[in-house]
Amino acid sequence: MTANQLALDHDALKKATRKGVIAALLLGVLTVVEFYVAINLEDPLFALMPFILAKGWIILDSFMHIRALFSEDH
Amino acid sequence: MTLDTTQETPSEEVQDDDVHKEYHQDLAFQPKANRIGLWMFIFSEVFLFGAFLSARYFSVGTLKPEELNQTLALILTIVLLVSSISAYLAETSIRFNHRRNFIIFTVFTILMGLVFMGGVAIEIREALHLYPPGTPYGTTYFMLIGLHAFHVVTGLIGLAIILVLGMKGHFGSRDYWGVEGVVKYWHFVDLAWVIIYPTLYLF
Repeated sequence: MTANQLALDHDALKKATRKGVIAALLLGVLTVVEFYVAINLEDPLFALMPFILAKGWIILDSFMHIRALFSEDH
Repeated sequence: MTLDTTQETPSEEVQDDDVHKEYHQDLAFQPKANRIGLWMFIFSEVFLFGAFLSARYFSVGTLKPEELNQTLALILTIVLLVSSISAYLAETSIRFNHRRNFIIFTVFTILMGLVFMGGVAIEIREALHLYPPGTPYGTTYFMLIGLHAFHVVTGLIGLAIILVLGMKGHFGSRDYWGVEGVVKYWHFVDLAWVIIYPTLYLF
């Protein structure tokens, strides 16, 4: 493996790690906000839907790579 | 002079090479087929969880007991989210041949999974007194918690298997399907909890 290839790999690893950490932070913030919305509202069913959808999409997209299923080069 | 009929002619050798290459090309495409298979399995699981979730709304609507341990449930949700990022980092590490990091993150994911299961055991012990399985809410609660806990246990078994194989030198940047499959399953367990948690504790 060439030094150039190693550098490319290192950059790709850093990029992938950063993407995962940002997704996890977003999930953490959404979970805490979701909790506070739920305990402060009388009937929070519809107010919580955006949180559930956003968290679900972050997991499906960032962690489970669902979009890769539809890409030719994956 | 006798002719050796067992010897292959050059054209037969070329044909054999083509078959050989084709076989290896098939193997190269195998992860894509595996991924589609895993996604089909996950979609079938969505129907299973969907049936259990709808049973909760069908039998008790959005009614929930006041005694629910909200703090513990929130902590468990965060623990599962942390396990998801460490599972992601384990997969990313092996994709780039960082075996040591892969082992560290997989061990951490397993520990988080065990902490989650410990918390679920505490919840179940409390729930048995506060809303036993015979009550409408208790029935749906134990069904959902039990189904999810079963998936966590199977996920932990999968993680333990890839950890042992990884420690023996299996997997690498060109062959990490086993890790990818187990980690995807673990993320699905997390995804299921993202819906189960508000269904049981927040609505």
